[in-house]
Amino acid sequence: MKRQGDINEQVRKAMKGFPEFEPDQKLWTDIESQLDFAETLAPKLKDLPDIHPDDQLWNRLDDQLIGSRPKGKVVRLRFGISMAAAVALILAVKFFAIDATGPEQSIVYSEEYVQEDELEELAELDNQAENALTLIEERFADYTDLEDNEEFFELKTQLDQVLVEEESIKEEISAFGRSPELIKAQIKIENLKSELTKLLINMIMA
Amino acid sequence: MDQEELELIQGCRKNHRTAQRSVYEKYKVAMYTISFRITGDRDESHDALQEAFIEVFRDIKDFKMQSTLGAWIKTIVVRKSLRRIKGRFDFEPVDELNAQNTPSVENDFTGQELHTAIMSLPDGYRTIFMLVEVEGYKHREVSQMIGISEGTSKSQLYHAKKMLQSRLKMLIK
Repeated sequence: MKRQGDINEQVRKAMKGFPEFEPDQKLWTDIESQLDFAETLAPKLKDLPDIHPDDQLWNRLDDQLIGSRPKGKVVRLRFGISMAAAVALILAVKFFAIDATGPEQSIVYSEEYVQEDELEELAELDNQAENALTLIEERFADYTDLEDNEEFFELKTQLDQVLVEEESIKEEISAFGRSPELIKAQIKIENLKSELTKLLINMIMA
Repeated sequence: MDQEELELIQGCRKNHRTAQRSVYEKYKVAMYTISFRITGDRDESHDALQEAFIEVFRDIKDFKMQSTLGAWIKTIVVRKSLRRIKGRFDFEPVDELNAQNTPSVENDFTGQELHTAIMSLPDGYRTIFMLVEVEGYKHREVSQMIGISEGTSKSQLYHAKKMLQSRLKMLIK
């Protein structure tokens, strides 16, 4: 019985005598064609055209970011606010009534339809921001010794400048529309305002 | 990462709609183009993009800034787009490829002609061609994204290129 080693040796010898096979002559043509194509293709990829999404896509996205909007309902004003609004309306009517000699006037009013919980959420955020600013103002008014609170004063001065700038950007947006430059500036100023408010609140809480 | 991008990210993390809108405006065309070339369908790409941007704004707080914002958004857009067409992949070579010689293509085809030829490819070929050749993903990454072997990804790209060559030849004849 032959040993495994002998069999392996025989196989190795036989393999040396294996026949060779010539590939089809067309194969090189095919390879060459693909190499040429790869060379041609690479620089052309950068010329591929851009494809623009539908203009409505942002609106769909915006709706989803806010959450599905159920049909809006009229928000009932609290008694105090209703009274204030009524007084303001009476004063406005009186003002226009007294100025009877002026050009013809008309009073137009409308009702805003908004989702109530959305309003509450926004109001809550606004309240938090307002509370933070009020707290900073109060603490600022309490400080009398500038030297001991130099950093606080400096940050507060910066915040004041940022608030002025924020208002001015808002006015520009309402006058000139939402240009990319103004939006960029608004983002920048909102971020800065948040940062400064946070720093000042941290200093107050420390 | 430049200052402007950092500010956009900060704004998005605070849920500022202006920052979110700016990110959307900055990347919408590039991302829609990628998505459309993967799905081959405008409506599917709109849905993929919508899902992707919602995820971007939801998860931007976890964005580690190890890549650019654009690269991070792209991975989400590609994943969402692939998910929409996975069921349509057919990785069997088609008869058109059995032709012995692939015709050589002249150098004078335009970007638009190339786009048309790419969009005429079957879903599987088009997607792999797009991911590897246009977007620069590695076969290993493509195989993980689509759930195929690396070998399948390579062979599909080979077939995709042959078919693309053939389609371009027909297109510019």
